[in-house]
Amino acid sequence: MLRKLECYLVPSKLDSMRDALVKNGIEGMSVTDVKGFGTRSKTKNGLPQFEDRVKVEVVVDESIVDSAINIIRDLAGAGTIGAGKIFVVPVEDAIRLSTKEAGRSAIF
Amino acid sequence: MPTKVAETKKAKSAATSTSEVSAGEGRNPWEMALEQLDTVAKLLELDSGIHKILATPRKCLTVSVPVKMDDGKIDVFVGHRVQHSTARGPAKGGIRYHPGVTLDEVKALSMWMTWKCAVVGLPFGGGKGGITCEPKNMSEGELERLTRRFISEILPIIGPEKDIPAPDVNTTPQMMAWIMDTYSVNKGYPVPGVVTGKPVAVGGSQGRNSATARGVMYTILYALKHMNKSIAGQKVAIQGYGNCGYFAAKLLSELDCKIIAASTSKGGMYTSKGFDPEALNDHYQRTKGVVNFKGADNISNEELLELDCDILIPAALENQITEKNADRIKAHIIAEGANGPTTPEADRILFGRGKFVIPDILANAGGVTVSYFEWVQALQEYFWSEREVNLKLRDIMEKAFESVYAINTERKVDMRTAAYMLAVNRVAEAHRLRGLYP
Repeated sequence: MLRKLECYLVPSKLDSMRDALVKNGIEGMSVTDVKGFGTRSKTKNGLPQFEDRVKVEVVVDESIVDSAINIIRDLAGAGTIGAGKIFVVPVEDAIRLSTKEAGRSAIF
Repeated sequence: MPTKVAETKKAKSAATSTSEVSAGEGRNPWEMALEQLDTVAKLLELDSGIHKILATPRKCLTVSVPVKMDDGKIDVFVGHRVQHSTARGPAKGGIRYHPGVTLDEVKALSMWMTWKCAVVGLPFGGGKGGITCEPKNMSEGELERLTRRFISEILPIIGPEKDIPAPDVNTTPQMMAWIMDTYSVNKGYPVPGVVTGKPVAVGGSQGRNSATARGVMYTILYALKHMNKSIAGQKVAIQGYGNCGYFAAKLLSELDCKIIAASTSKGGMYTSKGFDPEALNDHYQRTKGVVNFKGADNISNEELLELDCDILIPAALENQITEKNADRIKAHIIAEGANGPTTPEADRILFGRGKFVIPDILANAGGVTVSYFEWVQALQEYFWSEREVNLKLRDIMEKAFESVYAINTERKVDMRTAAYMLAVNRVAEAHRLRGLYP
């Protein structure tokens, strides 16, 4: 089964994370600039304030979910308040448009 | 008279062997199955005690099956049910009706089911059943009485948690419904999990019809992946246009393969432009064959095997690729939709020529895998959509293919030997862990 790691991270960590993930066999990712807040975000007049983050989306086989999470966690400042979050989402299927390959084949 | 038929059949059904096992015309299939096991045991350095256990079926039941025929007379048939192994789970395997059925054939086939279930990682052992009869000469009523009486005779050893039959040569979804009914009436409540391959209306699974072909398609995709080749544009020849052949043509055509040839026992057709599998199926339904298809040339079965194509799918009979034609096979990938289409000598020749053979116990395991899903759905009393079935099937086929491929690469053996090594090792591991009672 495939899983999507949807990570909300501090932008400065992006390049080192890409390098580490690629070295560990992950061959694709999408990055989006986002604004957001979480439980620990700064507040103004009692309201949370938007902060700049990046959303990194990586689809991986379930067998490497844990190692990918470890890489991201180690580089994204584990233990630091506001470092971000990773959501692990089940992916029912994946299709590579150029070849019609589906499933794991479509991402490796 | 039946002896002669039986011996021909023996030789044919025994062809599912590892490439390192020598063949012999007319040899006893059970002896050949044992020889295959010996070969793999040596490669695996298998414990001799476990080897002895695996070389013996756990249970063989032979029954006589008296049936009142349509003319009012009674005929008595002989049937067998063999459970080769229940180490990894309940026994699983089909029931065949054929004049050539013998106990030794059923024993060999049951051992082979053990390996097939193990190679794809299903929680089943191996079983097989058969009745020596000629179903083509029997009426539907006679077949129903034969089926029901046979099941009542083997009733004590079958059941969802013991041994789960399925269709095989000359047995149909309708017969599986009779098996389900006979067992259920005897138990006093419905037991859909006693048999698989049932019609959907009595607990059959979505996706069962195309399951074998779908499994074949997946294994072809994974083989191409390792060769860094794309599926699109691959030229495919298919021997046999039954359930497996037709669906394989349909599924591969949807992936932009060019299906250039197909055949049945009555002969074959070829067109370099490729054909529409649906149109050929209509033609097949109308004419009961594939010859004289518009825009195509008629060819023989032998010519089909030697066509200039990329992928060859033998989906018909045993012993089709032999030492006589293996030198002339042009396809790069041979995906065995049928059981035992390649003889051991041919296997050696193909391996030597760098051809990639996807062995039957891997390539056509999609059928038993969806049978497993049917059993799981019956036990859960909860039914899955066809999409769910297909995705789960793909997951299992991919894992099995990759596991076999890893052994093929590491041990530098052909895919068939690799598949047998994986399977025997898994069953042996189950024996080691369970230990020996008492």
